[in-house]
Amino acid sequence: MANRTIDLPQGTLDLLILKTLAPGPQHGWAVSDRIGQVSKEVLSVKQGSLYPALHRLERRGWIKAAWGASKNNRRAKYYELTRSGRKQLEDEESAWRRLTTAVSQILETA
Amino acid sequence: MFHDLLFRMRALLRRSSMEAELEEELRAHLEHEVEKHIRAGLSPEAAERLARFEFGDLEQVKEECRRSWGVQLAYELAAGVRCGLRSASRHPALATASALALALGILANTMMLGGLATVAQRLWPQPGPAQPALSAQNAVPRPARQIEVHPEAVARKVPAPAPARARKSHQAGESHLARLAPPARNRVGTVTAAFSPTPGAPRIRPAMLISQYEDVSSNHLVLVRETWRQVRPGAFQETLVVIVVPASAAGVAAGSVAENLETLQEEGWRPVILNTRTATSNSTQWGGMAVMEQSGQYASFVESMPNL
Repeated sequence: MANRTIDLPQGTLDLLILKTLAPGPQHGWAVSDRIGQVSKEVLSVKQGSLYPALHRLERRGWIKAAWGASKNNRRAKYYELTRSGRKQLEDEESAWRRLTTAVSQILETA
Repeated sequence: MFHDLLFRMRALLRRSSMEAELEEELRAHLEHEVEKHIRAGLSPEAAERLARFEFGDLEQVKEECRRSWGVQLAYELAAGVRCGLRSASRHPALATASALALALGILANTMMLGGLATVAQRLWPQPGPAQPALSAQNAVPRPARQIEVHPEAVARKVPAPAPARARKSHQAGESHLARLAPPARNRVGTVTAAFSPTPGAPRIRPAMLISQYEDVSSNHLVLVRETWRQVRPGAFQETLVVIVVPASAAGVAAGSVAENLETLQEEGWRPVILNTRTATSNSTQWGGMAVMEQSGQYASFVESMPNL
């Protein structure tokens, strides 16, 4: 069976994490699981990329972390968007849409 | 920016707490993954094996996270220092010997480079404003000791000395220097050798001459420093630094060249380059005074001294 997973294009992981956190606080595993589910397992985020990215976003002040209890009553570290994180998400989303539109246009017309 | 700084400070100052949080966070991730596989129908053992396999190298993930904290360099530096201190405490004699060897190496290098610079300066003295000598034009204020200015020196215009007198006085200065000179030394302020006007000398080695000459007609003491640099075979660049002071200046005229220079320097006299020119080997026979006479600069220089 062919492997349907696609490696994330460089620079998109931050955008995906910010977007996944937009509805509300999530812990790391849930972020990874959510990205897999929504993309129908096409996109897969490895732990070696996810956690460094989460910590980097926290360092930049785009997300903040707090310990809490998960659904199965385990202790988990929840990440939440900050105000500057929402602004960053808007910017990155807009840039991504412009990029994909431009690439699509080229693919369709060239 | 502020968040970044705060985060890095926390990573630096509360590293153990952050490490513990990281450990717990990754363990929680692994447990979530195991539960997911169990829910999919695997046995707990198989689920754990699969989760660990999918997770990959735990230490590698931790290392990646530490890098994202932005303080990896500080951690490595601290680890290096700790390792060094541990080694030093285990082998204090070896550590002391290493530190001493390092210090001696640095000292030797510094001395060698300093010595090379001095030798280079002696072999190829640099003419121009960088040369140290003395002048009254940019003298610093003299708080302690005042030079007494001879009243006649202020009013009189000083003519250029007759060439014959200049030569004689200059030669007298040389013989005076020759008497004083310990020829082994060669630095500013120390008389090294008299200028030797040997006719037809094939080559003049770069040398420094400090001499003094008393201009009795104008009651001035003239101190001359000459620097020679061979610019090509048979041609030399000559730098003259001339200090003209009234013979009545306190404590100046009575001493030797070195003493007079020292006195002047204490009084705050500072360098001026009077003349830099390229001369042929013939014109060097009478040294700087001959050059000055020819160019007529002596008179104009003395006249231009504003406060004498």
